[in-house]
Amino acid sequence: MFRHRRKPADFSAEIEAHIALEADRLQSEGLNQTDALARARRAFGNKGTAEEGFYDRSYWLWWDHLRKDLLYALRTLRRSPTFTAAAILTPTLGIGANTALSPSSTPLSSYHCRTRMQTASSCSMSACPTAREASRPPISSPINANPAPSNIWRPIERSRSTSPATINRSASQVQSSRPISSQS
Amino acid sequence: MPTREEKDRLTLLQGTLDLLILRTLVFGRQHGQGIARAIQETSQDELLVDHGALYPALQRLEAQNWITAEWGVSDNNRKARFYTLTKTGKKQLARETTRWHRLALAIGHILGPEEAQV
Repeated sequence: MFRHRRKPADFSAEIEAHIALEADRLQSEGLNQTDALARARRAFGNKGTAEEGFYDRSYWLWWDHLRKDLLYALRTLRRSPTFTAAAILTPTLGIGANTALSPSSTPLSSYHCRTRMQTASSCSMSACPTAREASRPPISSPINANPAPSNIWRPIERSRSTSPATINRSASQVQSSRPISSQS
Repeated sequence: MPTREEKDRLTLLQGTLDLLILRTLVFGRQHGQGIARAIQETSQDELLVDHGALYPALQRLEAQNWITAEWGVSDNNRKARFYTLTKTGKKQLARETTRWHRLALAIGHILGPEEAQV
């Protein structure tokens, strides 16, 4: 909201206007210009305190604090470059590696549900919505559109299907409904 | 330094300045200095508005949306920020006026009539 964004300079201008108006009035009552101005300033009191009060209540304080905090953080990071490099590289490599290895555009969710479906029998179809989605062939799924990354999962599926003890209901449903396994 | 005359004036109770500002603005838009002057004159010089306290109050009222402000030019061609009462401000004034009358009456009841004082 714009009224919160009122600048301290605008407030100062208002105070100056007030003092000028008050001086005008005192002058019209018979004082000379210098005395009128001095008395108007005296009547107003401490201009600095008023301006400080305005600043303390305004949005600008919050903004200035944020700016100072950010600058302090940057200064601290610059002072210890090794730590900064480690802090940046760790998530960069972590996210980068995971993204590069994942087959679809939603790497985490599909990876999570497929592995759970194939290994854990506790993941029922109704409890895991992503599993339900994964079990039916998506219309414009990246798996269909780009068969290359889905090859990564084929050995796992094949190995699962060769050991009947590990196959559970949900896994077999996936196997039967997925176009990849029917091709192989 | 406040003169003796200024010391004899009543100081405003906390919270009453807002009410007086709203009341002053009923007569039309006015700038800060004009509001201070109007309160002083309407109270027959009994009340002295601290000019430094006036602006935080105006800011508060503006934040509550009870008054709006815009820069304009005063009668004697000075730039000034003029305040106008809004619709919600008028409602607030009515509410506060009722509250103030009730408070004054209640305190009056407790203190009793003036002639009963020692």
